[in-house]
Amino acid sequence: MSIPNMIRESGLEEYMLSGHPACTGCGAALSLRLVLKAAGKNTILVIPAGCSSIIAGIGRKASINVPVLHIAFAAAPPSASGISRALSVLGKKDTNVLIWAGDGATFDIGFGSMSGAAERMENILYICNDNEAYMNTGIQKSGATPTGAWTTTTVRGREGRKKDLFSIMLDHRIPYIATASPAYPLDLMNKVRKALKFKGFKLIHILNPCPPGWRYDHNLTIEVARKAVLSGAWILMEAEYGKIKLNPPSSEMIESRPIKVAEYLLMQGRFKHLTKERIDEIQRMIDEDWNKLKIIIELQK
Amino acid sequence: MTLTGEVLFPISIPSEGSAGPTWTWRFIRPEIKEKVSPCTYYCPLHNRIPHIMEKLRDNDVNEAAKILVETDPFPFITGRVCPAFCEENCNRGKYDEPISIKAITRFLGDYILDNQSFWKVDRSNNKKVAIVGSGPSGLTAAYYLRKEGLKVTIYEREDKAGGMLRFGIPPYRLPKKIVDRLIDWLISIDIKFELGVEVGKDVSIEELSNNYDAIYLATGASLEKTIRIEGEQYMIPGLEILKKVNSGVRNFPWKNIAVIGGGNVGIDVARTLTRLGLNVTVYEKEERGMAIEEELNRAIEEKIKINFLTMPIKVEKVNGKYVVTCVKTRPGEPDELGRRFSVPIEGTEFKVEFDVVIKAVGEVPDTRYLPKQLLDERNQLKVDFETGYVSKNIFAGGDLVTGPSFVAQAMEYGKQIAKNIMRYLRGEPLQPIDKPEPPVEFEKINTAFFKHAKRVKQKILPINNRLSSLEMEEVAGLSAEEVYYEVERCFSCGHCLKCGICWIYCPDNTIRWVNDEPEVYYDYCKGCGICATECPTNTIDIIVERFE
Repeated sequence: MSIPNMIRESGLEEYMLSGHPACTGCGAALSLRLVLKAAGKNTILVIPAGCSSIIAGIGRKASINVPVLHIAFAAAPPSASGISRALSVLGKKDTNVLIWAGDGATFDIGFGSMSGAAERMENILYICNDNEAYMNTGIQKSGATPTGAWTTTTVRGREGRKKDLFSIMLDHRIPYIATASPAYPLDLMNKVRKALKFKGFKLIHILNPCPPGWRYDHNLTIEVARKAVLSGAWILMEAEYGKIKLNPPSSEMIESRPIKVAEYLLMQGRFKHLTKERIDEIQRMIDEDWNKLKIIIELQK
Repeated sequence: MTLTGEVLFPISIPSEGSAGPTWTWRFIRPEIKEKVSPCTYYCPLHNRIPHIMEKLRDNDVNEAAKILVETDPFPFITGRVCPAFCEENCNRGKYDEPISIKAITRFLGDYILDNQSFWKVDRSNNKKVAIVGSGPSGLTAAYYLRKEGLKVTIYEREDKAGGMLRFGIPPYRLPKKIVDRLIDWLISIDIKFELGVEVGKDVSIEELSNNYDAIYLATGASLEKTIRIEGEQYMIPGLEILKKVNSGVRNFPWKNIAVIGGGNVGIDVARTLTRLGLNVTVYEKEERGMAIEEELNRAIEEKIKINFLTMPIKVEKVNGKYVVTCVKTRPGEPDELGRRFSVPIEGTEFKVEFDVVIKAVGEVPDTRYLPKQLLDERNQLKVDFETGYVSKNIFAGGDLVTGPSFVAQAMEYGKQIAKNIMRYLRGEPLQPIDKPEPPVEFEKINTAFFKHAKRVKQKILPINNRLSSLEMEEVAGLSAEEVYYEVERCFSCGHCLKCGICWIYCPDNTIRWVNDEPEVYYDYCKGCGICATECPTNTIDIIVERFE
């Protein structure tokens, strides 16, 4: 009932250093910090082009205290595969190989190579830092941009829908897939720890709010991330060997969601042009997703 | 390899430990600042409830009791009789239900009563202080002055000490053995009681003033107000009845009784006499009396007839019985302060016959024992309300100065006057009674971290058991498990929970955890404000920075 002691639950060690150049209130920087805390010192990080390439920094000004390989967009999964196999040959089985890729690198440009690495069952933990557009280059639409969102390339709001990465990767029959949110840090860290216990290709999809790209005040990052979960727009779940399980608080939201999606959308400037009809449509889409999920969970019982 | 044979790749250079200070990005700055919780603010004694809760959360009952005793020396009494303004204003009450602070106070109070090590006096001072009146205010002042090492003597005109605690509050609300234990304990720390000595008669104020370094007048408000109606001389004051019952009288030669006034004394009298098997009718001229809501509801549960908006206008003695003429009233127009006094409706008079009429319309301080030079033309004590100073070395406080109030309010006055007496004896300037800063508002609490949970209710005796005994305490205390459950519900408004929420949500890793406390590392803080927004207890403030 009471608030868990975050320090006792997560430990004081840090592998993300202060002074990195992420924007004020960056959700991705927070998630990366949490992921590295959970993964620990014995980790090699592969970062394809994106915001995080800047955040990680270079040389003596690097802000990440584990080895980092900066690489081109589509080359991250093959490079990580190579590192993973080399470690295996060297007998260093306890070194974790992590890919920290943005939504552009995951949904669009690196999609094929990610699929290939998953199909080959490379021993990698792939983490998708999803901020729902190409934020680093100036907020262009990506395959992860949600319906109705403003970006510099979809000025009237995005048509079409965001790819369902969870289902796509579920059909790759990989051992572990999860979604997470920085608003639920202990859940996020537990998922990273859990994923690293599986052998083979694992994926964690994190929705990271972006104050400049989503157009909200930077002190609201956690509030926005939390509302995404509570409105049902973002579902906290995991699948071990294909069996889906919802995590709290999403696990208590199967029948009804505590807040309407309008509350989540209207906090953000990128949705402020939406008409009531459009918002109702988005609400309907979310309800449909939940109904679909409910049926799948029922079937898997 | 280069031409000179030196190895260039792979190279390994350690990071500097940070990418570079980012404080120049900032235009707002978080600042960790403890604030006052509504429970502390509205508590007459300003008990530091969030601090107590923190210790209880760590299972440290002893430390929690220590913090409580600092501000409230007699929690075993306030935990039973206080109207609990803390619970009324609890921020959790705006979320689901308030925390049972009063019951927790009682739990700690009973712990203190069993562990008298809390009351050790470890200082000594040769100054002597006399206290007139052994009610809540006098006893509290005596405790704090004795704690400073002074020699304290309490003068009490009754044969037993305790004042209102002893003679005013009925035993089913405050068992008298608790008052006995309190007095025994005060005697054990060398507070001297002069019982049965009436100041102004047996000993004069001048004598006390000359023999002691300071005196504190805390004689309370025990004189029944006059209501100026015909036949008032036939009425018996309510406090007199309570005093008789508390002195052991159980048989009254009456059957039907009228109680005029539905305030706290009126309800106490009505409930006490109902327990003795008498038939009581209460008349209250307003829509709702000044009684504590809980007490009033229990009286209604016990089927005591309470007639609101009814006012007696005449009492006549007919054949040894008393005939009360009443009139119905209606709420009047609000006056300039917004108060609504009821006005009688003409032609609604009716007559009722009773064996006795009891008056409980409110009390005023009894100043008849004081010398004329201390009183003003309206026979009221000339006193500085801010400091409690009267003249020479005389101080006054409690109900004598404020008029009738609750036990906790009288105790707070005693505590504050004790501080001023110490200042006076040290030759320092007197200070006005301190007031805390405004409390944390509910809107500032981040409720996302708290799940709804129901409050633990204290068990109350069933009505039949209640009515059969006067001595049996009607409300039960909480068990240790129930107390810990309640503690977990506390929002801890304005007091750091040490939960680490600010630390875990900082994207820049600038909240450092030093000595189990958060500390902001300003060189790298970009001023996003997430820590202040997310803090569940509103302990972090946002300060706007300006560079000029």
